[in-house]
Amino acid sequence: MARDEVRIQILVDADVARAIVVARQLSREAGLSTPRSTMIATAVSELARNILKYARRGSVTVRAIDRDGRRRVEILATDRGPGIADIETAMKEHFSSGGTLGLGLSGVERMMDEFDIESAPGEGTRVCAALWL
Amino acid sequence: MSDAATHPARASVRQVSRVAMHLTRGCLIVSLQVDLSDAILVRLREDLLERVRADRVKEMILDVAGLEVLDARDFEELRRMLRMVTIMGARCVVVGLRPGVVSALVDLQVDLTEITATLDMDEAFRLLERGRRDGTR
Repeated sequence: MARDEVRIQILVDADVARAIVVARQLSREAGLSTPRSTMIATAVSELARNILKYARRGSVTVRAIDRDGRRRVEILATDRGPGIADIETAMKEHFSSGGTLGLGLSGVERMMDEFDIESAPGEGTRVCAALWL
Repeated sequence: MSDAATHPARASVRQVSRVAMHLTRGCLIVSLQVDLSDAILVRLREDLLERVRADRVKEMILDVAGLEVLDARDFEELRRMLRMVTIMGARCVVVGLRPGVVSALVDLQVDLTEITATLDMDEAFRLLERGRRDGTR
């Protein structure tokens, strides 16, 4: 029986690897194509690594749900870390040719059909991203 | 991870940190068969650079067909590694980037300018051979 929802606590590096594998598997079982399952897994990787790096701990939930009569695979990444003061600027950061890694959020947004971020300094960050089937 | 199990073990393959390396026709072929971790990447870089020096490797093919997910940070590590190998005098070709991986890398806006890639091994060998003939680096 395919699982519709998996929640993974992100505390150590190995949790990121586990989240990637679980995300890929759940996406495939939900019926996403292989390339799009890879997109979900890559987005999970980016978001989970952000959690480790900036918030130290948090969780990533991947689920297949029906919304507005259509099925989609959703990623929910939440933490109670320092939060982002200026989301607009954070979203503009990208991987420059010099190789400095930003938050990668804009990349995740480009990969996904839907992307939503809520964050407040001192309260944490919540990212919801999804691909439609 | 499941890919590692489906790849048949090859003779004369040196298993280093779950990465296969072997020298064929003067070309070092490095196959990444499991998704990457920091530990694997560090070991790989050390082993690879030592191998390039010891065997005076002039050409290298990095086979990433076994990788289903490659995020921006892992890719940056691989790119740095390829750059080091290039500085040591070997030409590098990346083989087997999957469609989903390519889409993700472009969306993540990683720097792909230094990367020479082909779809399969045959194409990579042809490319390297052409380079050898033209005497280009």
